[in-house]
This record gives sequence, C-alpha cells and structure tokens, in this order.
Amino acid sequence: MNDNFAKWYRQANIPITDEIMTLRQEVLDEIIDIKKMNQKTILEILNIFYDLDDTEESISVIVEEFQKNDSTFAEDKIQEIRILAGLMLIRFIEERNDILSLSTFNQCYLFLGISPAIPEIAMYVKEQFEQSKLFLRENIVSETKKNLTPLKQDLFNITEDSEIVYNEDTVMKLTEVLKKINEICKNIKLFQTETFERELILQEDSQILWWMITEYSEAAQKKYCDLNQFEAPFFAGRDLADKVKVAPGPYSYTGVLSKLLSGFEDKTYVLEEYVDNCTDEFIEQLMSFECDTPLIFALKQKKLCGEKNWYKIFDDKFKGREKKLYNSIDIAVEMYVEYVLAKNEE
Amino acid sequence: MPEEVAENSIFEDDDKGITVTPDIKVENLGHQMPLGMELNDEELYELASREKTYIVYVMGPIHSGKSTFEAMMYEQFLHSSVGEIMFSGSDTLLSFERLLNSLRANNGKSSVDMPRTNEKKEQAYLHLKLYDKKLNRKINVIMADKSGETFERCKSNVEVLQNEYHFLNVAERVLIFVDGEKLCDFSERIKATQNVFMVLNTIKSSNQYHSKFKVDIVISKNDYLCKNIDKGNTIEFLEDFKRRIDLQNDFFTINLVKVESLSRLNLKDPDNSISLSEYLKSWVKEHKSPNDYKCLPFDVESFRSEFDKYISRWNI
Repeated sequence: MNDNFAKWYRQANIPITDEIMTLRQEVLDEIIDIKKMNQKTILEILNIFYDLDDTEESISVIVEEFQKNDSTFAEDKIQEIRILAGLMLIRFIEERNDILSLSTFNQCYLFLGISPAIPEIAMYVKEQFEQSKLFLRENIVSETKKNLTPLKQDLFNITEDSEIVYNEDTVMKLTEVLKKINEICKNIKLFQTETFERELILQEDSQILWWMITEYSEAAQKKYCDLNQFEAPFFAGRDLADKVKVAPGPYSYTGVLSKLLSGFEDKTYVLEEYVDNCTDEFIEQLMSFECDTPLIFALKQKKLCGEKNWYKIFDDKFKGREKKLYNSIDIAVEMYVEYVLAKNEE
Repeated sequence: MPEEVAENSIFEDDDKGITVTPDIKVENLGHQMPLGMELNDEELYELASREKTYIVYVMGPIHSGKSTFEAMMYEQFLHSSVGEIMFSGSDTLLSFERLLNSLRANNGKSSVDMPRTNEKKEQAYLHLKLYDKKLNRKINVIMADKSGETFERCKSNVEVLQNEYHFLNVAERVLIFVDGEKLCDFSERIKATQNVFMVLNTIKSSNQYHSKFKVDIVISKNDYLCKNIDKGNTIEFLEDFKRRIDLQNDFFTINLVKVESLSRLNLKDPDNSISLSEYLKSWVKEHKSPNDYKCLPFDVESFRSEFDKYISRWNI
C-alpha cells in the first residue's frame, strides 16, 4: 500500500512529503475502518471521488478523521480529499466482497464521461468488477477442495459386550466427535450453497443462449428487429438483466448484447435523444424498479417532467458529464448494468 | 458604581477566580493570500491539494533561456488570450513582473541580461492559472525553476539531483533546455548536447524516475540558430542529436522542441518550430477523457467457461 500511496499522489500531481504521507496513511490504516463502512457511505465516497454535488457532509466527516493526526488538514484541500477518497475505494475493493453497488455506480459515472480524480483508480475498480464477473463462471469448473481433517482411527475402541465408562476421557472423545460432525455439517451446507449457485449460473447460461437464438424481447413482446433503434437497446439491456440469477451476471454481457443488436446500424445519438424517444407507455413497460442510476433516473424524470424538461434536473444530479454520442450497444450495456443493481437491491 | 451595573457586575471579589474561555474555532490556517513571490514547497502543496495543478520542471545550464521562457509564458497573456486559453490569475505575479522588467529594460539590445536565478534558495515555483474556454475548466500551471549552477551540480550526481529536484516524479513534464547559440558553435555544441544525455541518465538512476516520464528537449535562441544553421554542419549535427534523443524513447516519452516566437506568424522555421502559444496549448490540451482509458482484456484462450469463450470470440 505504501508504494501505491505515493504513486496515486504522483498521478494526481500533488507534491507530498514523506511526513504528510505517513500522517495520511496512518489514518487510513488505523482510524478509518473500511470493514464496517456501509454501502451508503462508500457511495458518498465515490461521489467525492467524482466531484459530484451534495457531498459536503461526507467531506466534513472525512476531514474530521484526518484532522485527528494533522490539525492543518482542511475542507478546502478538495483535490487531496478526492485522492484520499480514491484510496478508500481501493481499500474497499481489496477488503470487501460486496462491491456490486460501488462498481455499478463507478461504471455509470464513466458512461456519462464524468472525470474521476484519478482515472487509473476508476479503471482499477472497473477491472476488479470485470474480474469478479469472470471468476463467477471460471470457478464453477474448478474442483471444490475442502480441508476436512479425519477423526483419529482409534478414538473409540468398542468391543462386543464391553462396558463403556462415562468418565472425563469419554466425554472428551464424544466432544471431539461432535465437533467433527459440526464441521462436516458446515461443509455440507457450504457445498450445497455453492452447488445451488452453480446450478443457477448454468441455468442462466442456458436461458441466455436460448434467448439469443430466439432474439425475442419478453418485456416488449416483440422481436428486437421489430423495435426501433431507440427502444431496442433499453429492452435488450433489461431482458438480459432479467435473466441474471446470480449478480453481477456474465462477464460477456457486452458480447451478448452486441449479438442481439447487430441488426441495428451503428448510428450514434446523444443520451437525451434516446430518452426523449421513449414514450411514457414504453417507460412504464420498461421500468419496474427504482434506482438513482443515470438511465433509470433519466427515464423516470422524463416521464415525470416531459420531453426536454428533465435535462436540467439530470445535469444538476450528474454534474460534469460530457455530452457524448452513444450507439445502441452502449445504451444496452448501461441499461443492463443498472438493472442488475436495481434488481439486486430490491 | 450605578446599581444596575453593581447587580450584574463582574467586578466582584468573588469572581476573581473565574476564567473566561471564548468559544472560538480557527479554520483553514494553511490557506493564506499570496504575496506574489515564488511559491515554496509548502505553498505548492497547499495549492496542489486544493486545485488541479500541472507541474513543469525547467532545467538547463546557465544562460540557456529558462528564465526568458518563463517570463514569456506570462508575457504572451499581456497581449491577448492564447486561442481559447485565457489568463486567470497568478499567485506569483511579482516574480513574473520582475523577470519581465529585465526583458523590457533590455528591449532593443542584441543580448538580454536576465536576473540570475538564485542558486542558494530553496525550490521556487512560478504559478499561472489558465482558463480553457472550450473545455470550461481552470488549470494551474506550475513552473519549477532552478538555477543553471544547480543543474551543473545535478546533471551527473544522483544524490544531488534527488535532493534538489525532489518533486521531479510528480512533474507532468520536464523541460531540458539546450542553448541554440551553442549548437551553432563547433567548440560548444558537443558539451551542450552531452548535458542532455547526462541528466537523462542521472534521472533514470534516481528514485524520481518512473516509466511515464515526459521530457521535452527545448532548443532556445532559435533566431540565432536559424541565422547560422548553414554553418559548420549544424544541420547534420542536429539530425544526429535528434536520432540520439529518439533512442531514449524506451525510457521516456521524449520530444525535441524548437520554440520560437510568441505566435506562429513570426516563425522563421515554421516546418520545424512551434510558437510559444502553440507549445502552451499542447500542455493544456492534454486532457484525456475517462473513456480513453480502457480495461485490459482478458485472454480468451485461458477461459475455462465455454460460455465466456463462445461469446468473447465475437469481436466487440
């Protein structure tokens, strides 16, 4: 962590002395407890990293922690605070398993073109997410190795018509047997959970492959080729997310969506055009979950406020986004990612 | 004593032992108004921790044009904005004005006596805050200035280099100046170019080095160079110099830059030189969109899952 600490500060062009680095690292190592952080807090830290609005309270909390061993640390050191937020994100990824929410929002902000404090950290979060998706299927084919230590062969030496004396020694042996039975039960339970999860993933693979053959959208009740180029990506993303049984879903989701939308010309439009071309009935049909992720938020606001009237609210919420052009696959991928999160949080 | 005062008076003998501690909270002690002089290490850290900065180290021997370059970087904004880049302030205005005063005083003379950068003082940084209208963002350009004598001491001594240029690894870019006048002089040119390779080797051996180091070899005094380019095989020498610089591409992102006048209109060698304004724009325009960063793809052949192999083989 020490080398990386200096590296990230260097990437951010902040000339830091060894003394200041030690002070910062002490707080990250000893004071801030990443293991106990809840999802809401880590998302606020992500918002600080991306310099979004409504982060004043979270910034104050972070500043207070760092002031514990450096009284000169202040809220105006916003650039450094963003770097420290990035370092906390890295810690979170390294120490926790529940990274779906963090990774999804990170991907959403990259989709919108919002600049992170250090792009390399944002890419690291994305890469770890991709890796977790890949290993979901890669680990299925590996053998499950359990370390069960066998019981001693001569624990009980019982012969016919012999008497057992229930003394301390016998009680100890019985206790050992009980412990072993507990261990075996735990392993059976773990094995059952893993097997169940593997079955879900294999079922998911099968469903996805059949769906790709039919090229039919269950949400729209039409074939994708019969949908227009604005509707198709939303439905494709949503349909794939519906088929995911084990979040975060397959690693090759981009390939799946690309195959399904291959009939569409590779035209690009701004996000506003995609959303404005969604009718209210279409949005009603599409949306069954609530989430604050960009596309779902945009669709919701469009339905509430009407065409073009949602732009300001959207720009205020996702400050600093680039006005980019998207093709149908970009929209489908984003819809899929957001929907998986929304489903998981439901 | 009037009665109402006496009733609420704090001037009673019983109150002698009372101490009053006002509830005052002092914040943001680190941030002070700039005095206009060069920033030191601590002030640079304060600035960089608040706002995005772009640090450029300016290195080179005595009289190679470093201070003139820094002064002109500021001076160009006194005429107009540089394309879409506007001047948005400086915490070191006095220092820039001091540098410029020498240029103004020597206006019209064949040579300019710029004030010598003080060798003894700690690292000094000049600050320019620029605003890019097109990208709607501000950027702080910091030029780290060290004397020519310091360069001479550091160019082949790793420890001295690490000590004197202790934030070199944080710099976005390092400029190594080569005196264009000396390139035309047969007896001086080899030493002038050797300085470059010596300092590059020293940087490589130091703890400041990293694989993304960007170096610009800046040839100064191009007006003199252009006038005398045909003398003494200067063209061949320069070509050979460029070839040797290109060999350093394995270790640095390295460019040879000939900076001439303020604007492109006055360039004597427009094919091989750039103007100061173009050079500044190239620094500021290095803005990577987050989508320019791509995740490294996994090796499909190493997958065990046939599902992932099948889908991933479709090229996205």
